[in-house]
Amino acid sequence: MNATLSGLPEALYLHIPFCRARCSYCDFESSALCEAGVSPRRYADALVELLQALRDRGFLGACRTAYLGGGTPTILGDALPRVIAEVRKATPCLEEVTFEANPESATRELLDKARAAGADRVSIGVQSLDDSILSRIGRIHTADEARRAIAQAADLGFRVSADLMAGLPGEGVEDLSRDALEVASLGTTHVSLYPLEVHPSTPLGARVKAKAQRLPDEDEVAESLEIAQTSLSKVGFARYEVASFARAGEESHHNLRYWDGSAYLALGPSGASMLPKGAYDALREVIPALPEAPRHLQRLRLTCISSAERMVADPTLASLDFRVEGMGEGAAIAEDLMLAARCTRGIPADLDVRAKRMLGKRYEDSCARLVERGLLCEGEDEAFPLRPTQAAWLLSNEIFGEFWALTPDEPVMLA
Amino acid sequence: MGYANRMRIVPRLHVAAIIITMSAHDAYSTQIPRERVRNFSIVAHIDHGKSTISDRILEATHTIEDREMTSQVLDTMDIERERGITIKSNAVRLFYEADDGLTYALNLIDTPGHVDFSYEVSRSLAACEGAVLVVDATQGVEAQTVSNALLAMNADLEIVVAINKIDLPSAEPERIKEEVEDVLAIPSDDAVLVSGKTGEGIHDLLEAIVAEVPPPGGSDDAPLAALVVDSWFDAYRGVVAIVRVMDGCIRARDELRLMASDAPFDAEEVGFRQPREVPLRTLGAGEVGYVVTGLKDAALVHAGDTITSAEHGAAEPLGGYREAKPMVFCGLFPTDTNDFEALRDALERLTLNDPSISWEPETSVALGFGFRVGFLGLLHMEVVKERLEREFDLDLVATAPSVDYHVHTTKGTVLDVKSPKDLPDPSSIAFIEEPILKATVIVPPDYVGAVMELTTEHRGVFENMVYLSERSVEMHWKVPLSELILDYFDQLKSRTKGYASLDYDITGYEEADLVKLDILLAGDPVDALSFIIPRERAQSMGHDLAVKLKEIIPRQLFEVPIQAVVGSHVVARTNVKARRKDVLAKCYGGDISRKRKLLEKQREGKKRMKSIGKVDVPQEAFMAILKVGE
Repeated sequence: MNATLSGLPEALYLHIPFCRARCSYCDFESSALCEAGVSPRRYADALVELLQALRDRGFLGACRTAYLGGGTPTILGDALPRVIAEVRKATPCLEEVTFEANPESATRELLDKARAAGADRVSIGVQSLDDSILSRIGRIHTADEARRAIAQAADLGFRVSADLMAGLPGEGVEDLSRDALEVASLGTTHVSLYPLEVHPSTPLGARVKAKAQRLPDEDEVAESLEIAQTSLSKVGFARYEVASFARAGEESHHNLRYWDGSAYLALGPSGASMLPKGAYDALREVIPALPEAPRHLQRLRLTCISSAERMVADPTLASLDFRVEGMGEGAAIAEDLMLAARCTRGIPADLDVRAKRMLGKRYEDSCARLVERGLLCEGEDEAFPLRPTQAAWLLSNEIFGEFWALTPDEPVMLA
Repeated sequence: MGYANRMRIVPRLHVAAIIITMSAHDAYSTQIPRERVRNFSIVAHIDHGKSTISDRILEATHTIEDREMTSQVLDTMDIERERGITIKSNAVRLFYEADDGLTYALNLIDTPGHVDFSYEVSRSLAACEGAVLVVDATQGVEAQTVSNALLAMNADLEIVVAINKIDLPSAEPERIKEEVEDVLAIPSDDAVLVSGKTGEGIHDLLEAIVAEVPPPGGSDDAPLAALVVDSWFDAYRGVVAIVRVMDGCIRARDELRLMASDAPFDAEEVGFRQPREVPLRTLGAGEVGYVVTGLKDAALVHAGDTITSAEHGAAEPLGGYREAKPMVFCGLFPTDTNDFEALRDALERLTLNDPSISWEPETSVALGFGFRVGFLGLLHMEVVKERLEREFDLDLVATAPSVDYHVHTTKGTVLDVKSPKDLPDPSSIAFIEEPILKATVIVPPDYVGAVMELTTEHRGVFENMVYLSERSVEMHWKVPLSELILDYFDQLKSRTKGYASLDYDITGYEEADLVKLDILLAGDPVDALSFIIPRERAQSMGHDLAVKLKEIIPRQLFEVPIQAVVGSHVVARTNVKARRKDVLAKCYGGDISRKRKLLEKQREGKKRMKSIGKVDVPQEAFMAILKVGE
């Protein structure tokens, strides 16, 4: 609670911008990935130095969760456990340390070392358990490697999550459900289901545009997501967010913080931080290049725009570059509503009260409209007065759009 | 505002500078006797290079300093420049020192360049003694070359032929000269070869104008008769008219009168344009210039009207006056219903400059309050809509264009029906008449078959055809105007690979077997989607339109049936499936700002749609009828 009051970050994200190969659907800027000429080991060294600097400034004292994502964190090899150990050291009250793993580089040895260094949760990029689909989307692992990685991680005592994608080229409407059930049976306690997003700038996008690749259409994707969610619920995985399913108590505490308005801090190219004004001002003392935020901007969103190369060359906080976006109180509330509507539990009572106070009748009208259209309903208890309906899950943009439109003012770019 | 441009050309703060130039030019112009005045227009088929030649002439006569030179100087509206067409007339006076050592005053009257504005063109030509007929050295004679040449001949103008674009490798000036002789019977031995692009031949063209265009006649002492060529509204000074003085003269502060609209006014200022305005004491017989009328109502100052003295004026007005009559109508509705008053204000202000627009309130169940607006033609409609949106920052939904039908009821009355939704119940209709036009199509012989097929499909009745030369055939048709305002012109262009050119004139009304086709969305009729169509085409058009609407209307939260209906008979049906998936599934720290922007974009798209009942309908749906062929 103190942490919330002081506004210090409650979650820490470290971005690992390396991949052995780019998946054909990936639209990450190259600056955030596959950094040529930067040694992963030296990048890990830089992260360690930056973590120490943050710790020395007392900036990580409130962190409860940490997450190493990418890219492919498992590419770091032996440097991965070193970074995890440093995270543990820098943040005394961590409840959860997750890292993302790709099946081809998640060896038993590496998983073992990461577990020993203090990680307790691993999120494995499975995407599909069909080898021909995997090769079509440019994944460099097989279904068997994914199965093995899940089983080993579970065996080593990790809480294991698997990512699966819907709407992949060649996927039938039953395939996603079958894969979800299989990863569940292999020992995962958490599954994320994402519909494939096709970006025109990617190789897959180009093939689709040239009609060289057919993709399942909107109806087929919807169908496969619906079948998969039914299957998952039958084996004890409940949806707790748009794309996230977990056994009871196995939710990702880190991810939940993205949606509940908690502060978080990220390091690494394209890493995104969200800080309330107080914490931002504290960070400015360490990173003087950050622009001053006018008082009415209560929430600051930072995106790290330093390259990995630059971070390695000069691993000091002062040399990090950020893009900064500032939001007023009303905008922050609209954003929180939009994010809260991602979760099955719905909109918490205190947010509902603040929204009524700040956004007034417009908020209530929006809620009424959404209820009328069958997208929102009364929550299960007083703590969450409104929640999305079952029918809303595949159409949530309706809710997100309605809530975000309530913002009384646009976010402003400070730098 | 488009006319802000004109104001920019005449900066109000530079009065001192204008006075200096004024006295210089005033002396200059009074020294130029009437024998050395030349009044001329430049006419051409669209894209044959009229505006570039005007620009080169302005440069060659140093009317415009190099630093002020933009392209299409005489086109002052953004839309004119962007589209490369002239909508308003303009008149500039150039001083040209000819090879004979004498200085001539050349009044160049710029005319609109589109078939929608042929009446305005005829008024501009009536102000001239000569016309430069520009013909593209690669394209040759086209429909508007013919119609403009005929207009010029009917106005008894001396025609100077200018073969343009001779810099192009594909130019065939000798062949084009022959074609001009063959087709138009205009001797073209003396045709001037020019390039608006390089400026080559412009000097020769100016010499030809001086040598061939006769000086104006008229007498300063006769009663005043001045032809209004065009007018526009100036917020500070009221209506300013461009005039050609035929007889008599206009002095500043004279008490004057417009004969057709019977409006008295005082000439607050007279002068000529360069295009910056240069005030004069007097505009004498034979001169072209501007008159500041001080009138606040542009509808009083029509092109073609005659200005005379309040007392002892001309006995008869100048001939050829006609009231501009809108031919094409569409509904204009604000996307945001709160903008109704803003749209009214915008129409009022736009009408100040363009009295040929007519408008009256229209109420649509689907689109709310808006206006039924009448235009001279399709291009005029597009331009007005674009100006309303751009200059007045409005977001508008336009319904499909319609014509003015004469509906004879069983009670013997005749109704003017400009909007399909005003068509009465079939049981009370005796018969319907629709406007018919005489269309002239000029094409290379290879495309005669294609034009036959297309025009017959559009209920055209073939009248005759004439070989103008080996390379071009002129076909005459009778076609209902309602066919022309749908996709005829686009189709003509595409089926003849762009070779065909079209000119038309409304000739009258004829009876036709027409019905109203209604569209139902989710079971409710959408009045703004109704249109009037020949009975025999109702079925196929209903089907095509339903299919097109299915493409245009995005999937909604629920299924939307689309039905095309004539009376109570459903002629076609289809449906837009319910939306199944619209979710930004992956949304962690780094995604949030990006997802917000995506939502904003989605919302923007939605805002541009019109909610009809519960269905969000994109604006283009109301124009779907125009896109059925695509």
